[in-house]
Amino acid sequence: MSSKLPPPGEPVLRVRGVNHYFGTGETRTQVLFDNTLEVMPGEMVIMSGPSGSGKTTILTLIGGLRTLQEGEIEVWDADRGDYRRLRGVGEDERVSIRRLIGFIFQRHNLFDALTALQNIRMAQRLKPQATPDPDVCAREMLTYLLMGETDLDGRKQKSRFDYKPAALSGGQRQRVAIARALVNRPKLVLADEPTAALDANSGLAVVTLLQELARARPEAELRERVRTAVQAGENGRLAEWQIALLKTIASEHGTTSLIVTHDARIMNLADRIVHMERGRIESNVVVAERLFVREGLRQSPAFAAILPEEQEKLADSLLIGVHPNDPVRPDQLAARPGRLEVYKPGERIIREGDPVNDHSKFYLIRRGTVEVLRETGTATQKLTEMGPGRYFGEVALLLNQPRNATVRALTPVEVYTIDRATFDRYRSVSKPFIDRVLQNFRVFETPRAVEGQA
Amino acid sequence: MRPAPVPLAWCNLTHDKVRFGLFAAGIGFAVVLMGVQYGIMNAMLDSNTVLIERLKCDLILVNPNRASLIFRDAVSSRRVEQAKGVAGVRQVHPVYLEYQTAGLRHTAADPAQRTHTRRVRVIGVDPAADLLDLPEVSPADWQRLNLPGTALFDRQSRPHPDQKNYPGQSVFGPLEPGIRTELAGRAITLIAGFDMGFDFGTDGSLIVSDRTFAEWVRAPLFPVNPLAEADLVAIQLEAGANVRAVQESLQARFPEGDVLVLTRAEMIAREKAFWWQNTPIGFAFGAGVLLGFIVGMVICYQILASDVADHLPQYATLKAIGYTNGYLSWVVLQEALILASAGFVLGMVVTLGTYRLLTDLTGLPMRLTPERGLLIGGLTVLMCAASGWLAVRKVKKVDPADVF
Repeated sequence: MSSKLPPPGEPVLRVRGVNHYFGTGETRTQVLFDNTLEVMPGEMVIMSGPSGSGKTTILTLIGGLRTLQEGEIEVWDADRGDYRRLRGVGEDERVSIRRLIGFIFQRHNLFDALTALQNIRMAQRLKPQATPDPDVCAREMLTYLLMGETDLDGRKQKSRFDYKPAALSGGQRQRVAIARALVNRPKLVLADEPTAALDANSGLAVVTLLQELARARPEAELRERVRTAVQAGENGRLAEWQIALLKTIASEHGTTSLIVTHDARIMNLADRIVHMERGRIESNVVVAERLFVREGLRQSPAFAAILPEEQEKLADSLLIGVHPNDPVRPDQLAARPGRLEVYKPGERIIREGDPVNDHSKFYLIRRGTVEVLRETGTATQKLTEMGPGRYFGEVALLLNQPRNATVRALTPVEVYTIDRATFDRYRSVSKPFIDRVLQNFRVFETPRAVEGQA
Repeated sequence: MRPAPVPLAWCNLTHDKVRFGLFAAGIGFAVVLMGVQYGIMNAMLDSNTVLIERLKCDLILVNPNRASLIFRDAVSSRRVEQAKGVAGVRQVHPVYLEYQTAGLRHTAADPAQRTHTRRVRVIGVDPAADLLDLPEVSPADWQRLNLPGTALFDRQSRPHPDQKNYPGQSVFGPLEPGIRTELAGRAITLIAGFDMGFDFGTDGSLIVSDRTFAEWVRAPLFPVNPLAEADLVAIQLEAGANVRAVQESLQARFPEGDVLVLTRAEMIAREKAFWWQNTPIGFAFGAGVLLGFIVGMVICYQILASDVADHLPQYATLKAIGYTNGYLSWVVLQEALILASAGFVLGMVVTLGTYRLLTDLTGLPMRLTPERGLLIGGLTVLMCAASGWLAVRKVKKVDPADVF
């Protein structure tokens, strides 16, 4: 079975302009307002927000469990190598789209009359299985989820494969349900509070499995989760043998999961956090991008002294919602204007001697390399090259002087920009600190200082 | 490669053994209702045709006006002779029947024990013709029947209602070989017994020779020519003769319209149709069967609907992960069929027991032929499938979005 990923830069899930209404006539109420969201292959997306904010509704729309009323939802079909649209399709098409998705529900909803393995088999029946004995697959997964013959500390225990739900604990039932959702290796997992009923250890096992299904994690990263009970505290831990099994189970990668949760332990591991309020997506943050921008801003003296919350707010106002490893598409750029600028190789970003005005900006390099040049009489002296995470343009803004150097793109470059008004607002907050820096800068205005802070 | 299917319907039903037992008992109850009602109906109709079934013949001549054996209309003896001339006919034998005028004196030897004289059905045949299929009667007994004033008696005659005080006695009194009593006022000796049974028209039968019949039964009424008319004419065909063809040529031989040529099966059907149409048996017991059917449907629907209701989140989950309405409907229908099978087996065991009991108690010939069993089975499946179909609508309405 060949499973393809979408073309580079394209999402596995695309939600565009989705509105949804409950009820009819007088009681018709809008519950979703113009929601737009893209999820890239292998992302683990956490959806957060107060209850009633529409998280679950949007999840059921994506899963094809409800009829899409307005807007567009497309789900990538890895077997077919194409998107499947959910708008205006019949029941049959929606049923076949549902088979692409692994659903983890808040309640386990297992059949009392079936054993753990039989309950999982119900899902396996829907898809041709790679192995002749599908139970092997199901057993491996249950074993990884601590329901096999070995417990977390490697001691023998009675396996629960052939137990019926009545003989299982609440957490064990939920783990069977999770195994049922994941056994067909769906490329998209929709989960509603998957770890709510789980103890810390199995909760961590579930999340780690989702992470590993998304993309292969370095062994070292996983090994950090093998720790003693004391060290782990409430965060849960994995066993040595689980990691080996994890690698077998999650041999295929590229699974995207959309998880509605309030579990802080999971939030820390998310790739993207989508926050909803009153039926709207209020923020859609790629965690890596947020870290990248925050780290970049923290290094700049202009922002180093402001409160961490202010820093975060400023950083979040720059985010474009794309992982810093990936280039930005024009439509993504247009969706959040004024945050990011893109330059072709050779293009000048700022020119030495340009006066500072209201349109002058502060720049943080997201991708690509720039060179910093200064005119020395007749020749042009190349001062330095700068890569992602470095910033430039703040000296002119701080001193209210013309630009003291030229910055030119060497490769395709993407830079986050902060306009002068915003810059000045924060500058006033950090004034004492900045003054000290400026003092420094004025006294020792040397090429070395320029190098760092053109 | 798809893994083996999970027997979801079977597991759902049998998960709780006690509940499943109760379910099967519920459906079984409906099967018993249908089976017993249908059985009694058949027994009542069957009892009227036992005589025809026992006649060893291929075709029967009967007066078209004689809608049932109990009537008097008969076939002229001339027709007997005429039938002999038709190609394919091997033998023709008149059968004489008397329902109304022959009384059998109570057989008790002690006059004080005798109750009133009762009418008995008298069947007159040529003892040498081997016309009746009665394995209990030996050739020697048939031989002895040639003696005028002898009769074979029906051991299955209507039993005396007070079996406590008169064990084994019939309403005619004790019936044993050698008993002497009176038939139509003349002495007669019972020489051997046979098994036939009573019906709506009669409490029991005597078989006598045609000669005894003429002298004892008919001569008092028709002294000149007692055997001028035969009540039925039994026709046996040459080996290999085409029954239909002979039937048609016989019918063509009697254009006057005073004779109807029927096969034995047609004769049986005609007799049954008469009782079906002219008594409330069909309606009463048909309604009983219908009642059983409806009761069964309600029980089955309750079981299936509660199964769907109990498993609503599970069915919704199955829909959410990509099972079709068709699959879920099939699960419900499977459950209906499993219930039908379990209920049928259980119900039939009880039904058969009830048949035995009723036959012992009432003497009605309760018989379960394969066709009748098949009909009950078919009704059971239909009953469960119909309620399954109703329950399927519930499962179709399950909303997968409810599981989140």
